[in-house]
Amino acid sequence: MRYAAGHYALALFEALEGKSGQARADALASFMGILKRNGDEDRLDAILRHYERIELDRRGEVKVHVETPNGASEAALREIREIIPNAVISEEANPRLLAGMRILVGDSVLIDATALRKLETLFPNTHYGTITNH
Amino acid sequence: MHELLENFGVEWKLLAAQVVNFFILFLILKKFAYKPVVGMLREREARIKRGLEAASESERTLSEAKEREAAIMSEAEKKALGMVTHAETIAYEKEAMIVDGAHKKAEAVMRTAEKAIEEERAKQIDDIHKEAQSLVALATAKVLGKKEPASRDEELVREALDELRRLAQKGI
Repeated sequence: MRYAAGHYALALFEALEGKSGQARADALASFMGILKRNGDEDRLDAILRHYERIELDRRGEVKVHVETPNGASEAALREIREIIPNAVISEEANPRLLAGMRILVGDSVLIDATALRKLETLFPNTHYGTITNH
Repeated sequence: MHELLENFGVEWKLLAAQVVNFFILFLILKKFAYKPVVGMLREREARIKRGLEAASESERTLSEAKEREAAIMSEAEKKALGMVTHAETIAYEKEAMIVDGAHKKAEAVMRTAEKAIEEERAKQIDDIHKEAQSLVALATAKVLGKKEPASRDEELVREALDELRRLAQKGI
């Protein structure tokens, strides 16, 4: 790897800034060519995550990822927007959690108040397989 | 006799006079010299004798005093040794009492601590049991396709949102 994912992401962001339509597509193609030449195509996921962070930072927004067993309620999502007004919320339903909510703010702050975590704390050597609804 | 004396050159008148002189001198010396000197010598002898006797007496007294001193020291040493032994005995007894007291105190503290630990452990086990029961009920409901107890889900969601609010106030 010649460059860190963060450096690629910043370069991509600056390359796409202010561009739209064909110019944007050309810039993207060019970028992919560079990745291929450097042998860093497998780092695309990491680069895109960094890109997303840069974009949100530039817009003054915070990414908030919410996981619940059956999807978060509107009231909970409203409360999250109230606590973090500039939140960009993404949701995920994960039945394994059994109950409660898991919130990831940005890339670093994780709040895990789920029944799964409590079970893992109580019985640390137990493996919890996927629990699905019948 | 008279011829014998003349043959030896001795004149009997002179001799008689000398004998008389001798006796007169003897008497004078006896009265004025011999007696005082002898008296002085005798007095001196008596003084010396008295001095020797006094020295002997002093030596005897000193010896007696030394014996008394030795006896008193021996008695004092015995007394002191007795006191030290007595004090040591008391000290050992006191030490044993203190150590015994400390052991009993330590045992009492240990028992109290053990009891407290046991109670805390029992409480924690009880708390864990209750938590586990609630979670197992949740998991069972999920597995059986039943709706999980809503109150538990709401509690956990509330917990997550409260934590998010607390962190936001701290400036995450």
